[in-house]
Amino acid sequence: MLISLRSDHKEHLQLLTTQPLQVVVDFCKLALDFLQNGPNLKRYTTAAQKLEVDVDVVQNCVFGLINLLILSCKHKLSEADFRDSVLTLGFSQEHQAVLSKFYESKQNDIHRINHICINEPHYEDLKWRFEVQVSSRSLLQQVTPLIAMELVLKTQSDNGTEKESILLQTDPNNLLHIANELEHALSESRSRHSRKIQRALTH
Amino acid sequence: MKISEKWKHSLTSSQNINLIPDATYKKLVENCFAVLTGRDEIHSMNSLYSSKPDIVKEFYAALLSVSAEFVRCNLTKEEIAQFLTSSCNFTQPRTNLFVEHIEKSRIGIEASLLNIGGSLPHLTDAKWKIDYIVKSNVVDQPEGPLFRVSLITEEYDAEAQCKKLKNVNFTCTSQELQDLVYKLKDAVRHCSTLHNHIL
Repeated sequence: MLISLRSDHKEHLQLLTTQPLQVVVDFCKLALDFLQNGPNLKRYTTAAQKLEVDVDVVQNCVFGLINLLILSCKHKLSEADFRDSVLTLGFSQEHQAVLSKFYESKQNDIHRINHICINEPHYEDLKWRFEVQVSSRSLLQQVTPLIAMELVLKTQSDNGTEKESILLQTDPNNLLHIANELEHALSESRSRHSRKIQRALTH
Repeated sequence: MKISEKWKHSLTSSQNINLIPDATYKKLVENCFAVLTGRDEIHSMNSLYSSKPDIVKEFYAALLSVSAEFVRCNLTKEEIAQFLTSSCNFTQPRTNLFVEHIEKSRIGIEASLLNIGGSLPHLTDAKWKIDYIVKSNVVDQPEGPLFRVSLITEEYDAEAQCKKLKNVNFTCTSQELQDLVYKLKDAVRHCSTLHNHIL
């Protein structure tokens, strides 16, 4: 599958197609820096002076590279698809090799960010301990087995990841019931029906 | 055991058959254990207030308090009978009726007493569903399965004096659910080995 870019997006990338290999490598580095630290106007200005173009052109080119990366991840392009898409944009074989490497290295990071587009609490960890309650104010003598648990949930938000610990307890009977119920969910996801749906969606 | 002189006095002074007849006594005992095990009163209290409602009320209150206290301290049948006859002047038939009822309701009262207190939310059930993401604004490819789990917990609400249900919702992937199930099963395994060990 080839991805189609908007014409202004193509225009922004045009700058790179005519540049020597080293410049493409540098732009990939600028794009990497953008992913990690956000835009850096100072570096764009230096690059613009070297190439003797406007700062805007350099900036647009970096943004174009990032956009290309995001679009490719959105469609989960394979290596071959990415290569073909880049070649169609007018890049040479050598340029394409650099860009492919760039795509390959950052693909997983982008997928990870995209994965959690809707922020909801997500399971992170469960700790448990077994305890026996032997006395309380309202019942002086007792032997009540309890399982105390700490459920850690993680929610992605704009300010990073928020972790939330929830303390729970249960008795052995309910514990068995819940473990069985969740195991049932797991086996249901591997049932023929679920697999059939999964296949239908992927093809 | 903490039973104040006031309650003892109330129980003792009500042993006069003219104040509380045997039939009324029996109904009060039945009501007392119904309430302590969390059910509704069997007999309407209004029908039990004869000409002396204050004495009936006082006796009923004392009965409720000492019954709960007996179970709280885990007194045996004999100890209860001993206390009622010697400290409160109960007649033998009245003592027997009381002991018979308390033995019948003991487990129920223990359960009610156990539920009082600020323990952690108690997990009782789990709901789940399996989702597949067909498409989203950032990813064009289907993804899944994604499990949406809702754990149902019961918590004692001190203000409303009853149990409240609360859900803990979260999502997880196959691997994460596998991890969760593995940990829960591990805890189950531990419980059962401990159980076998004790037996």
